[in-house]
Amino acid sequence: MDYAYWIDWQNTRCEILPKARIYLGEECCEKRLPPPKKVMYWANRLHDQGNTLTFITPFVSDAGLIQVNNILDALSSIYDSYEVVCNDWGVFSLVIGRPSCIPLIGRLLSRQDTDPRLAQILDRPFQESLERDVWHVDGTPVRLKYKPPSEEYKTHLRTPSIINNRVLSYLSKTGSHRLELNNPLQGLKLELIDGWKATIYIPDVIVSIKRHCSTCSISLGSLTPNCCNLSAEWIHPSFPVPLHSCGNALYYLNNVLPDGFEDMGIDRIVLNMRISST
Amino acid sequence: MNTRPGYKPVIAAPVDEPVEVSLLAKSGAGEVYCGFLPRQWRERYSGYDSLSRRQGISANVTVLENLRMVALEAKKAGVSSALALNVRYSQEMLPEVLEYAEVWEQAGGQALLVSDLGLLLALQEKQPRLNRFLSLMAAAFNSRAVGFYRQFGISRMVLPRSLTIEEMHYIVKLHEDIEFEAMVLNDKCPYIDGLCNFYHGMAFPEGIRIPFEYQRAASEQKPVTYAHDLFYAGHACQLKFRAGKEIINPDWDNDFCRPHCAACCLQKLASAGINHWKIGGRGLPTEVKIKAVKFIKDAWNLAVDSPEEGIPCQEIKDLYKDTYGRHCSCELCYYPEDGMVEV
Repeated sequence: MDYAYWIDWQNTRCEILPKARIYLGEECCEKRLPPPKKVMYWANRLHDQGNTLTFITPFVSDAGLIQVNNILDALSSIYDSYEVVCNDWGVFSLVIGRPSCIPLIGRLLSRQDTDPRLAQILDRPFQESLERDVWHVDGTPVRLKYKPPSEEYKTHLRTPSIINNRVLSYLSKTGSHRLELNNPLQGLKLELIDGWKATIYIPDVIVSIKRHCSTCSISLGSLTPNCCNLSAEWIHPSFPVPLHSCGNALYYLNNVLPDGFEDMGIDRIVLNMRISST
Repeated sequence: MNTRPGYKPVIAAPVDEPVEVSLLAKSGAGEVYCGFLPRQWRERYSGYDSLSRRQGISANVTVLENLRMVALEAKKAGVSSALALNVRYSQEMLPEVLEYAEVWEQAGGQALLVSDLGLLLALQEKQPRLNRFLSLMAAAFNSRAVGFYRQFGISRMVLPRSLTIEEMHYIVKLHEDIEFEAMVLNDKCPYIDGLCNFYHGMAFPEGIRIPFEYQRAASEQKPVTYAHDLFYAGHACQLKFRAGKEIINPDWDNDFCRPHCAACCLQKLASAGINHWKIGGRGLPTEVKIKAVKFIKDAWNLAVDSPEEGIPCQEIKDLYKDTYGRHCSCELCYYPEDGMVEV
């Protein structure tokens, strides 16, 4: 098992394990991408320490594409080869044209429902304890009963939609061979075709991206790189875990690895060092 | 502004039943779209948002014959028709999804709204006559992403509602040979559609009468209905979360009596080359859909008739007030950076 460490590019005082794989960058907000000076600082520092690099890119506007392109230029001047996590097909098409870049399919492109309530669907005793009478609009009282999900539906819930032979074969031709995945509470089921491997992130699971940054309460267009460091905990009685609102993204935390993850082709764990509970 | 003689933007309206097609066409819709959620799919994959992004039987056509009828009625009314197969699918689901696409094609349906890469690749292999519209669920936020999707035969793109009109315009300029569509009314969710992993389930609120399917079972005294999630309290965008001492509502105010609106931006959308205007609201009552189509049509007529270049915002706001009985506001504006002007 390969371990990698996702560090906060703003924290230049953080200690880095020599020769480890380091994840750097942002996946949810283009306004938080590091400026070129910071990119060069980190690239030089990590290269000198013998660290391998994976740069994470967010979904972007056309303006953000230019920014990403500039960052890749800077990184390519120092690293002969490095990985780029793509969370946007536009960024992906930019990356596959660069010989020094190895494209990885990011969590936002892997596409899987991660709503933590999905885990409750699979909890039979819990659901059966909630059976009750409800009223139909025609006035009939009706007994509401639990229906366990079919095996096909369970598979759907546990499998990112990118895991499709056609899609993976197509992506293989572009030089991609790695998927970056959430670790959702409902579990994972992966059947990767030959040549593909997967990464799992701990402990943060992305649930949704908001159009507005709740930390700032202003529109995304007005964000500054430092505005999203606070994380608020959102609690609702129908959710099995709290959500964490960080900037424009909502996460929950799951430290428990899925059963049999190594047999499913997961050979890398990314520890998100930007989250204090890691 | 794109008001050359003969220029006519197309209003795309949601339908859930065949009977709605001609009513909406008469009101000004140039296109209808629907979802499909048949029993056999619900049995296997739930009645949640597993076949399109809208859950439940009231927001979808549920019978194959009715799906065919929607396509047929659209043809009769002289409007185009699109079927939303716009969510993510697992590999095992795709053969059935493709079957529905084939039924739609054979019935005379004209387009599919899609976002799943696996489905796009499968359609590319099969080469149906159906047009492929890239749903906003595909989350293509820049011109390169549009270019990426175009290799799969996309002829129209529904632009994500998180983009500004300026950003949309930039994309359109670089892809002038395909059509573009933008949301103009209803359903402005606080989350970004294609990047939202919350699911849309079915809530059974205490003491409130709602529509759902039920059956009589010999072993039960009462009729029975089944669900996978009996604890589902509502869409995450509608729930009130507690954050410390604060109550957080993710800004969602989805009230079809006071809908989210881009009517003040129609001129700008037209000028940006976005000529297909989508009205959200599958599952809404027919009269609400008709009202929505008429409102957008009238707002466009006001914009066209305006003698001056610019946004006849006050007149359109008045029209909103006349139509919905309430004032619009910045929170309800679809593209606040581009349209809403305090007057």
